[in-house]
Amino acid sequence: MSDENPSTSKDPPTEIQEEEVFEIIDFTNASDWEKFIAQIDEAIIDWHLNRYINLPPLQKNELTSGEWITKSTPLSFSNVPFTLTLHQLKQLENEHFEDSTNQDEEFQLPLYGKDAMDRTNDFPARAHCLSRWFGLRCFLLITPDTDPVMSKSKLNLLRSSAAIALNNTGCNIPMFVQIQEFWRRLYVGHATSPGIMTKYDMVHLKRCPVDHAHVHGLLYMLKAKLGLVAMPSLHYQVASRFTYMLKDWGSNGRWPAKIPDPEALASNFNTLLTGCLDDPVTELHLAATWPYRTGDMIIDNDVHSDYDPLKAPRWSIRLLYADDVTCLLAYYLFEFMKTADRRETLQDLLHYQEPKPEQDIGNVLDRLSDPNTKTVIPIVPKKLASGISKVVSNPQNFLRRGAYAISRISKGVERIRPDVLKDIIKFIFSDSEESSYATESRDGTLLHHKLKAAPVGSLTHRLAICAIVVNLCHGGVWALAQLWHAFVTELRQMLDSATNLSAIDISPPDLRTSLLHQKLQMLNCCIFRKSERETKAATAAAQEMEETILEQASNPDEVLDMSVELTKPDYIEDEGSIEGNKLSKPSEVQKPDGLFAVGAEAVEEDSGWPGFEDELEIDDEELEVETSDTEQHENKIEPSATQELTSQDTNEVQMEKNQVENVESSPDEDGGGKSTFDTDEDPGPRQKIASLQSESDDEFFECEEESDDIAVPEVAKTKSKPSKTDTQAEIAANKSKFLQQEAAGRLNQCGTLKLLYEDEPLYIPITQEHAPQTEDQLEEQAEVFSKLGDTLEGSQVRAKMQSTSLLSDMEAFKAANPGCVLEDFVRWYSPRDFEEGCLSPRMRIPGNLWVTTWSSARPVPAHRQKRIFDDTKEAEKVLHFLTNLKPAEITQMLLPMCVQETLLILRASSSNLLPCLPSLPPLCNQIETRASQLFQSWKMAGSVANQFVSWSPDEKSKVEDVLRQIAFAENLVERARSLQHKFSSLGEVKVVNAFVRNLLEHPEVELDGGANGKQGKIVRDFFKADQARQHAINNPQTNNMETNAEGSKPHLTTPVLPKPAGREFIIRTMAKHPSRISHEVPHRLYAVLAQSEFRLALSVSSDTTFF
Amino acid sequence: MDGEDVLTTLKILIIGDSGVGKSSLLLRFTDDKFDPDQSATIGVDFKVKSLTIDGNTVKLAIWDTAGQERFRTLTPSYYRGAQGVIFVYDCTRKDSFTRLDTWLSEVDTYSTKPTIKMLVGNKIDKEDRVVTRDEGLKFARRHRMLFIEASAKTRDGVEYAFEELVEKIIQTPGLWEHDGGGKKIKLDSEQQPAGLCSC
Ligand SMILES: Nc1nc2c(ncn2[C@@H]2O[C@H](COP(=O)(O)OP(=O)(O)OP(=O)(O)O)[C@@H](O)[C@H]2O)c(=O)[nH]1
Ligand SMILES: [Mg+2]
Repeated sequence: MSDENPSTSKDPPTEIQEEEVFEIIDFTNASDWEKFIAQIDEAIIDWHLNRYINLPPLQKNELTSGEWITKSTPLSFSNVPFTLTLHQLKQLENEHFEDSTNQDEEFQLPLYGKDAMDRTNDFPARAHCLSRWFGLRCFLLITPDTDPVMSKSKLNLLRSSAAIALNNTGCNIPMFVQIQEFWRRLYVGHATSPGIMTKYDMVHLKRCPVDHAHVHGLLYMLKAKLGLVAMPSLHYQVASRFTYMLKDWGSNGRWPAKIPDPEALASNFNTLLTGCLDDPVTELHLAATWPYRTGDMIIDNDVHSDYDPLKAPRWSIRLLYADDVTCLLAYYLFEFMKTADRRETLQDLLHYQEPKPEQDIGNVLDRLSDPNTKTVIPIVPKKLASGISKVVSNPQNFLRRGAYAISRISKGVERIRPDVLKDIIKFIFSDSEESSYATESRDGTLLHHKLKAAPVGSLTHRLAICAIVVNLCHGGVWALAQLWHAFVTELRQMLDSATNLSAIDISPPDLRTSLLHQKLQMLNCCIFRKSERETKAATAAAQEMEETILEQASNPDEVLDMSVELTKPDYIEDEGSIEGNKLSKPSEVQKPDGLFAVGAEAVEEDSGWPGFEDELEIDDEELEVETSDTEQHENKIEPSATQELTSQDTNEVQMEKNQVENVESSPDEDGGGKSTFDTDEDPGPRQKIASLQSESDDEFFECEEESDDIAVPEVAKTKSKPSKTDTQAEIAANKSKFLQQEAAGRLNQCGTLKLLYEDEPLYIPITQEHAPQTEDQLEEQAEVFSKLGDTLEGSQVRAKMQSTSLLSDMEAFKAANPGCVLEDFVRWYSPRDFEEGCLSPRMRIPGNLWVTTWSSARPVPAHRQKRIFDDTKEAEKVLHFLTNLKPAEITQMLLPMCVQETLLILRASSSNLLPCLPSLPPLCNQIETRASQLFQSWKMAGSVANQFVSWSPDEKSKVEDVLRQIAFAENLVERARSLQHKFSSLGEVKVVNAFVRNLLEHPEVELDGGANGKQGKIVRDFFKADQARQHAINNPQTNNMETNAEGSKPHLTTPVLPKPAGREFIIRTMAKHPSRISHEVPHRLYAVLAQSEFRLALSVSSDTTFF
Repeated sequence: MDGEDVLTTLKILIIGDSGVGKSSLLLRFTDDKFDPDQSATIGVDFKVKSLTIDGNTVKLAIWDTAGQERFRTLTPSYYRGAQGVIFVYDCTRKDSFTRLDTWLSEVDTYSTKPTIKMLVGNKIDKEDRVVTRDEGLKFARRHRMLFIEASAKTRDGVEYAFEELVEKIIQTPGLWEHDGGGKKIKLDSEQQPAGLCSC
């Protein structure tokens, strides 16, 4: 028993045992050969092939259309490694198996024998060569892993191993062994089943032996092999197929019909152009097939042949495609990507005087450039075999092919011509238009959100398109640098002239779009605020002027000052905050010397947050004017430790310090800013000056306001009202403080609410908007917040830092509601925190930020408050950011928009091409998903630190992946277009599309009506024209005549088709073998006769019962 | 707990109407205490805590946002990059429940990548509940959220909510990245204890 066998711990022997009890193999003293066979046995059993397999006949074309599966296992023959592989048409697995038990009674052909005789799958378009040559749907193959099997003895050993293993296991699947050099694809094989045995042999030669170069010779050979020379040819069935090749489509079929015009390419900035520079459909192979003729009907010998391909019953074609033709979309993108590797700064490039075209491309181009070709773009011959893998592995090479075309445009034009540049800039900044594409992504959300790009037609989008075009056609990275420079310069001018960017919405940065788009939105917000302010200032100035001249004509100094102020340069715009309430009491003015000192009466030293200055540029100095009239009247000092988050540049701080020094009477500490200075001064004109002086600073300043129409609360009434609650002295203080305060900055009433301690409606104040922020700023802020840690202190500091708008809102509220208390504020702001007539417990916590902020808030309407959003500074930041980008970074910034555009274009073509290319939309979806993942996860830049995070190698390879997919999709589009063009004369669009789809989806397509159908006619015409051309080349003397004749009338001397590139034959017969008393068993000979190859694949069967 | 073997750092966001108890839940989770003397949040606040689940230690950076209308414009920026979002409502306040739709659409608009969402019904210790457990459950199911009811005051469900959220995030491929190299995630059998529905 094998169980006792010490050398085998595995179970195959036991399995064998179960199958066939009598065949126990003892491995204890097995030879290498026996071990080898045992391994094969084992695999066969593992794969459940150790039984008689029978299946229904093959469907038509099933060998091609069906799914093939393979399984393999390593073998070893005295340490020489082999691999055993099972190739199997999918269906086999699921179908039923018939047991061999009841097959004995009647002689029956095994499956492989039936398949070999079955004519439904002759010459499959795509199948393993063994399947094709021997007509098999299932076979086993032993291949050596390293050294080919060269010697006859080895060959025999292997072959008999296979035979024994098949016998051992009762497997009726043919098994082959590969012999000779691998490239020769030579196999021998063996198959066995009850009562029959088949041997497979091959012949492979470089040249056809003359004796066998025709059906006659082949028939004779088979007869001789079977020893049946006398058997009439009638009993031999012959299937034949001749293949013809077309490599030149001629002027009618060539695609692109018109090569993209370099000029058009260079001058189109609206969108990207599509098209290819070379035909992606390279060859057509026509197969003329005669599926069935008996040997006696065929005349085909060394002198004569009656094969006429034009009369062949079946015509089919297959097409060869090139994956590496240059298509424009991919070309734009790959060229653009090159700049991502550049290290130069913008300045390096702008100041480089004599830029040279890149060396490698340049040389290639020089060689290519033919002075005679004026407009035609030469097609660089394909050097390498096609395959998308090439595009994948070497985009450079891919690009080179089309480089010449474009180089013609940019050659010697390393810089954009000034007029062109001007036009481009004009175009970028022109009004937006509706996009011509559907701009949605697959799931309905906007594509530019998915890709984190920018809306189609927006400034950002246009800029990206222009950049990618300029890069391709106007001088590469130098032109890009130039464009960028001009773009930023234009932005600066727009800002200076306070002109809003037209093709961008005025809304806070949309965090779903690209960083660049956000930056431009931010800039536009700044410009908007600036222009708003300037309009106001202009009106105010005009009015003030008048008034000043009228009222204060005696004081010419001030007028002068104002004019100076109006022309104040940008960089000092940003000053400390200046506040001033209207004072009714004019008095003597003690005018300070410096203009800036005007507002600098009180300087508050904020304690600040340690460690913050560096990162946030927080300046804890703040200039405030303590001129509240209430204070003057009440003579009560309210602690006004207003701590605002202000950001100021260091030079500004410096300036302020100087100013402070200039102030004659130095300001008091802290909130006690009620210096003599205050009271002495005439607030009226001063305030006017301040308003102009801080024009960029105090955007809400406005002299005239709605305060006029709001009644001043009755003094007596308010005063007499007794305090009812525990809101202590502060309320009283407030009340008295507000006595004479005019309500200001009201938006509207807050429902029917009334103030708690005043008989006044509760008004919602006009408030300042939050400062818009771009994602990098937000990220930085979050970073700062998280660095504060999760301690209580950290938490407090964070709250404090974010309380700017709370303070601003409180001040506005106080201004709008004289006599209000915190409860009133909370009722509007956070109604949940006012329950049952009093503040919620959490609002009452002593010293909580709401309370302290409230007490430090003074009644200041929003328009008089310091701007929360410092647009002047933010605008500068954006411009600074843009100016300092390197070309590589620019590329990185713009890429999402470029990918978006290509994707939109591909999608648009995919809907046009849907009838013939239904696989394109899913491909586009795939690209979209990948690109979306890529662009969403990008973290780009920090504006404050102005640090740009460039691509990691991983990201870069992901980008390239996306681009490759785009290139592939585009190639498919061009294939479809090329085929549509080639077969356009087929008829209706629908008919053409159906045919094209068929061609694209199948390796081989049978033509309706063969040579004489419509499709056949088109194919014939292509060949005919090609033949005429060939003839003209070969016969130069008739050249002229020929060219004239081409296409117009058939040339008499030239046949329609060239000589076949290959002829294939399958000869079958059922004949008694090996003896006259044997059963009729199948024999099959496959032959291919080509220019440089002669191959025979022969299977001969023998009856093993009656030999 | 904190140290080299931190698997990853997760960003978690807590949102919901003012006063529903977001800060209280967070405080309960991080410091295991309930402090009635916690003022209304201004802007966003932030806490960190490490958590070990099935042998994987993860660091949580939890952002607590202000529910107040006026601060709401600030919060969208924090949605970016968050792996988990906790939506809190107050069981005793219907309006805080009905407003969840608004919060949801905001998250869907601004979050950049898919996030795990969890719904927490807070203050179940209170007598005057108006939103039933079933309502919360239905809402969560409809919007594919994890759901739990909790009380920051009595600590019911709080720790469990965070743990469950983190576990779900870790089990969702592609949501997070390893901090250090080489560390393998340990996946344990997932039992779904009562009280929690992962829809
Ligand atoms: N009874 C009870 N009260 C709670 C519970 N959670 C919070 N509270 C109380 O509810 C009030 C609001 O809680 P917070 O945590 O400040 O609410 P929030 O959601 O952070 O509010 P905002 O910061 O304004 O968005 C506080 O008074 C808490 O004491 C709870 O589980 N039970
Ligand atoms: Mg809170």
